[in-house]
Formats: sequence, structure tokens, C-alpha cells
Amino acid sequence: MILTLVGISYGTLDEAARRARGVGADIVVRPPATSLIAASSSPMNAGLLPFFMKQPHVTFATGTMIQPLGGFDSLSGIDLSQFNQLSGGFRFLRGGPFQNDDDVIVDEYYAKEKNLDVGSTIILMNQRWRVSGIFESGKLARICAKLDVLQTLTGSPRKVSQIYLKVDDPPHAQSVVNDLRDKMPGYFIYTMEEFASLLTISSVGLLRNFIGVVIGIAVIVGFLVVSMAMYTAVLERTREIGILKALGASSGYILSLLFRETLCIAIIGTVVGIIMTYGTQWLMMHAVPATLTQETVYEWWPIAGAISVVGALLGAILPGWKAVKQDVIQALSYE
Amino acid sequence: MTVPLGRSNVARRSFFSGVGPQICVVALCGFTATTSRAQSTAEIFSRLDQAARSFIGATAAIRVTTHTRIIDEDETQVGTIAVRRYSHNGIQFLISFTGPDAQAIALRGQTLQVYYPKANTVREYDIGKYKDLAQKLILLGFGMPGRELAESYEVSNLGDERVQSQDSVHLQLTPRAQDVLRQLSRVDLWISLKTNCPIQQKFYLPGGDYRLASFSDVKVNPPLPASALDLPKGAKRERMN
Repeated sequence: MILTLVGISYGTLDEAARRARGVGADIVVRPPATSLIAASSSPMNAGLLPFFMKQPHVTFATGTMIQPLGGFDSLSGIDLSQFNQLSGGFRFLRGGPFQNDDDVIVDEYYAKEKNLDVGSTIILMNQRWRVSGIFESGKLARICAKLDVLQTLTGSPRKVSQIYLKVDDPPHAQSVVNDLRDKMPGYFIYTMEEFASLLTISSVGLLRNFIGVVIGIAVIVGFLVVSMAMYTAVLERTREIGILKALGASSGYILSLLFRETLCIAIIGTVVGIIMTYGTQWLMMHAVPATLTQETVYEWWPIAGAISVVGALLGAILPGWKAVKQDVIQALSYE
Repeated sequence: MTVPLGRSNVARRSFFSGVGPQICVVALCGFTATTSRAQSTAEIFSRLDQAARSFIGATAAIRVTTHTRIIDEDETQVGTIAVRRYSHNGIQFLISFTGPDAQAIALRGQTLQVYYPKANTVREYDIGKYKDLAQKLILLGFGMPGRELAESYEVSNLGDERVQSQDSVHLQLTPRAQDVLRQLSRVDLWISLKTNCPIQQKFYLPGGDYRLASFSDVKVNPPLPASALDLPKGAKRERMN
């Protein structure tokens, strides 16, 4: 459970970072934190684009709009010709770019998950859209529509959610960012590398807490399951424990037997758990490839193993104590 | 729309919490003791307290100008606002903008609803504990007691001003909470001496951008049924969180 959830957390963030890098921009500009006052997800004036184009080293600027669709999905509004200049263009696997205002393009994973093909229709934001193309994943978003259409639909003409900048030479990106931060305090301005590095577990507080909770639950569940199993094992082996004690086995010897068995169970459980993560990974790749991405996080294998061993050993303490405290005569007469 | 105010999750810590009525008294006493305007500030607070007790609702025309400093450009939205108190602590509102950027924003309970007429869709966001923040920012001055202003802001009285042909008092509010202050430098509020409701709210962002909301044709406590603040029933509703 730990490995699967950690894998999903890492996978989802890494996928978002990969798609952000795939935009091909050097700098991203996001608006000041005014969502609540403006009650808008696209609070940035598109009039900023000419301003950015005049900045030293900036060779290109384009804005996109992001409309959340609920759950993990969002619909991105793009100016396709501008976006192609920035990113080098989408690589279409089937179909092609927008032709009409009600066209959308979707990435291969979204198409697979929703069973879409070129010409399929899909309802998003209470509108019927036609899929005009399916592109190779890894650029910006999973679903894209025309920027001006989305702006009109949401009553946000000339508004964008974020602006991407391209500079003449990537090493200049940091100096441009520093310059823009001085000129535009309050705006969130990052190099793309900086932005991608923010998409990590340690930077997303909610995810960090989530993993903490998962580990806590895993330890408790491990403790309870092992405790129950070993308690049952001790009950079932009451007579055997009595015989061992009658033959002179010490308390330490009996405890050692139980703990070794527990350790074996924990290690086997860890190995089985690791194998099962490949199963869940396969399942997600085939059932919900656009929604959930699971990665194999090797550095978490020993951590998960340690958590499993600790939880199991804690769970074995009480049954072990019961085994040690058993009276030999009563144990031998146990039916 | 994302509910949190940016990456620092400003609203995680309650904007308006942790300051008791004692502080208001101290604040009011401070005003009284220090300046010649102190008395008038205390009077204003007293009048706002009194007005808040009888406040059950208001309607007005609203004009919102968003200024982007770096390009010196203004964008304007016009529409109407209706505010209604439905319980002692509960205020709901509906802001409807018209024109090319037509949309409506409603808050009822913990649900913020954004209506897009062109998509005939209402998006519903459960804003949970951000409710108070949304209510107190957007409705700043509508039925808000003076003590609430003093709890949340350092208040400076900039004196009387005539705005939109109305006599008003100009208050400058600086958020007390440091995390809010990082996102919102200050708010200027012009309260009508006639209606005790705001004539203008001006929210200054750290970079110099601002959002100016002007209210005209303000009617206090008009007959306002709950249904007057409903969004169109036929619109498709989408739960966003």
C-alpha cells in the first residue's frame, strides 16, 4: 500500500513536471495570489504579452488558460500557432490540429482512458466538443482547446492563467527571471527548471502529509494484522510451546522463535508488496493512464521494508508475551 | 478557480482568528488616545457596529476596475451585487457581471458558485474554511461591524472625502496577519456616511496592481427574497472539489 501510494504521488508529480518541461519554454509567469478576490482562475491580463516581448533576451511569449474540469482533469486553452512556435509543435498520432471552434485535441493517454478517437465527441464544460487530433503525451496538458473559445466561454476575454517565455539563450533565463521579479513583485516567476523542481513531494505540503498518514495507517494495519496472526499462532501452538518449555526452552528461545517467524512474514510480505506494485502499475497504465501515473520508487523499497518489519515486530510483542507467560502444565493439557 | 491564495496557502491559517474583542477595545482606545481623528474613527466604528446590527441586505450596481501596473492598463467589469444576511453570522451574495465578460459569482454557506452564462454552467467549489475570508474580502464594509474591521486590520482614518457625489469616510486598512499582508498590501475603503455601506473598495497587491470596486445606487435592506440570489436553475452544475 505504501509503495503504491508513494509511487502514485511521485508518478503524478513527475508526469506534471515532464509535461511542463515539454512546453519548451524557459520561463513561466503566474499571477499574484488574487484568486479569491478576483474569483477567477485566469486573472492575468493578456496585454502583458507585448510587455514581455520587449524584455531583454526574451524572444517569445504566449499565454494559456487552464480550466479545471473536476478531479484530475483540466482543459487548457492555447493559441496553437503560438504554442507550436514555443514547443516545436504537437506530434499528432492521429488526426490533426483544431479546425473548428468546437474542436479539441487530446493526448494519447486521455484518448485511451476515455476511449476517444478522431471524430469522437466529448462533453466538457457543458459543451459538445469534437476530437480533431490525438497527440503524443508530454506537452502542457492532456486536453487542449482554442484559447479564444475558452476565453469567450468563461467570460474572460483577454485573460490567461499563465504566460510562458522563451529566451534567446537558456543560460539567460535566470537573469531574465531576476529582472522580472524586480519589475513585477507579487507575480510568481520561475525558470522552467525551478518550476519543475517545485513539483516534488517535499514541495507539496499536502502530499507530504498524505504520505505521512499512509505510513501511519500502514504501521497500524501491519501491527494489528501481525498481532492477530501471531496471537492465533500462539493459541494454536499452546501445546507445542508447553512441550518446549517442559524440555527446558528459555523464554528468550520462545520469543526468538516467534520474532524470527514474524520477521520472515514481514520480509515475505515486503517482497510480495513490491511485486504487487508492478501489478497496480500495469493496472493503472491500462485502466486510468491519463488520471493516475504510478512510478517505481526504488528508494522507498527499504523504507517500506523497515516500516513493515517494525510494524510486524511491534505486533508480535503481545502474543510473544502470552507465549512466554504460559504455564507449562496448563499448556501441556491444552486441547 | 483555485481556492488557496497562492503557494503559501495564506488562508490555511484563519485570517480573522485569534484576536478577541479585547484587542478591539485596545485598538479603539489607541485611536482615542493618539490623534485628533481618533474620536471620529471610534464614531465610525460605533456607527458601523450599529448599522451592522440592523443590516439584513443590500443591492447595488458594481463596477470593478483591475489595474495592471507594469503595463498601466485597466480592465473594467460592470454588473450588480446583492447581499443578504440569512442568519446571525451568515451572509450570502450574488455578483453578476454583464457584457463580454459576463459571469456571476455567488456565495452561500461554504459553497462558492461561479456561473458562466455562455457555457450555461455553474461551477461549485466547497471553500470550507476560506468562506470567512471570501466573505470578508468581497463584502468588506457590507454589514460588517467596526470591531471586525479592527480585528483584522490596522485601521487608519484618512478623513472625509466626497466620492461619486456622496460624503464618505476614507479608511485605510492594513491586514494584521503577516501571511495575508504578503498577498495584499492594503485595502482602501470608502464608507458612505449616508448608507454606512462601501462606496469603493480598493485592494492593493504587493506589486502595485490593484482592484477597485465601486458601488452605486446602493439600497440598504431592500425587500430581497433568497431566490433573488439564486443562479439560473437550468444551468448545468459541476462540483469541482
